[in-house]
Amino acid sequence: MSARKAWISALMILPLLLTSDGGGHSAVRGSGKAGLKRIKFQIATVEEIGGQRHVLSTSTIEGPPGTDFHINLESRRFKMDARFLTDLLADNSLKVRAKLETRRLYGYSAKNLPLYEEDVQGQTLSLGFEEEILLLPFGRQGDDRLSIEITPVLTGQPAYLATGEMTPPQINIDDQNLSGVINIEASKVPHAFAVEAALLEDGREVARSQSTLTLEEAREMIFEPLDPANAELAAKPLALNLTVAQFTQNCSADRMTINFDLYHLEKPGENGRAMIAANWQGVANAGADLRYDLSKYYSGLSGRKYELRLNIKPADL
Amino acid sequence: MSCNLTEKVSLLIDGELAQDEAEQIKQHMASCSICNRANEDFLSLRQQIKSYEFAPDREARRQALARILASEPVSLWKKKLALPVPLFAFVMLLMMALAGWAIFLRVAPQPTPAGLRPVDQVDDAIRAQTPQPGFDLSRFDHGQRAEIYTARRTPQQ
Repeated sequence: MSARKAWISALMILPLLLTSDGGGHSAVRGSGKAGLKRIKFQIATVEEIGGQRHVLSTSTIEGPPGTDFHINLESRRFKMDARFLTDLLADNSLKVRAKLETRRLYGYSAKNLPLYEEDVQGQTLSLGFEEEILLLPFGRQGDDRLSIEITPVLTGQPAYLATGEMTPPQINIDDQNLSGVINIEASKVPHAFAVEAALLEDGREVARSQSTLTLEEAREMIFEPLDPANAELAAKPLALNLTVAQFTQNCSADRMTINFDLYHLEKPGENGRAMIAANWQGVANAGADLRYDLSKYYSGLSGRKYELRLNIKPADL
Repeated sequence: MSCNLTEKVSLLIDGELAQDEAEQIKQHMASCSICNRANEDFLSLRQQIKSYEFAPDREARRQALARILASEPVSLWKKKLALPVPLFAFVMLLMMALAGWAIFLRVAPQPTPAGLRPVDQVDDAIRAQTPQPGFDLSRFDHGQRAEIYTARRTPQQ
């Protein structure tokens, strides 16, 4: 029994370490957050043998909308990391972006090195609160089948306190027969980011674009010339395909890992692209400018020095 | 009416008698009307055969050749092949050996490529080396890909 308590305590510590939503943006800035309720995900690991169900373990994750979680399954030959990014949509449904990574020990080489079979798949699921997510780590074939059932429940508990503080995610292990085999983690990080991008010509802003990005989703931003007389940018608009790949927090700053492509659209509204910078990456501090010198890659017709300036910060939706 | 020397007359005409015997037969023919008559018949027949002119009918020859060439072909199933018994026995033994080899290949486990050892063969070693969790998931693993989807809630919940 003491081992179970230690196990539960260990699982509780991790989400608590990850719960802070970052200094400034954790507060309720808009009235929209005041009515938000916490969402509970009931996770049941079930074995089915000849049509008979046997619940092996049950757990719950509860947190404000946007709480993400991992389910890790690990045995002697098989390892699965299932990551779920959840978002509550306006129509009271859930958007869940699932990414499954599996690794199966296949055998050993002549040099006795382990050989693995790896698989990565991603899916975006849309579900209501009367539905559930079924995760089958080993597929659906065979008489013995293992399934992980994830059932979302909208609770009556407020997601944010009257002070604006976010109520942290919680994990409860109700029944644990799979100690050491299944691990669950939860965290709450921003999923929306306000991005301002500007093209500078000799230090002067000549075009800009702004948008709101979702974590791990690419979005194309087209620069609008500030001077309508800029014939070149009007004829061949500059565009940025940007992804906020990761958000990390530490005591000094919130950081976003980004990657992007910068290109000309050959003609407005058409798909033709002339690449200027492909698969560029960087790490941006929240709210701080991040600059890229484009001199070697883009000089336009004027032959002047051009820079790309990005400013990214978590956004409250 | 017959004479037992009539056959000798034929041999005399063919020149197959010795000189002494030929003289005796000639003397006999002078007194034996039967043999004398037989001698005349033989000579007459020989003369007829010699005087016969072979005049082949070109049309008849063409028809005969056509009949030979147009003879009905023997089907494959009716064709017969003659083989010496030792050769036949060798062929049969060879076919039986090939059949046995094919069955062996089908039944025998397939070798793994380039020294690869499937995990089943080292499973016991792994079990011995690694600490065992309380729950073994391997019985669920049939090599299938993981799946995820949404569904209506099950009644159990």
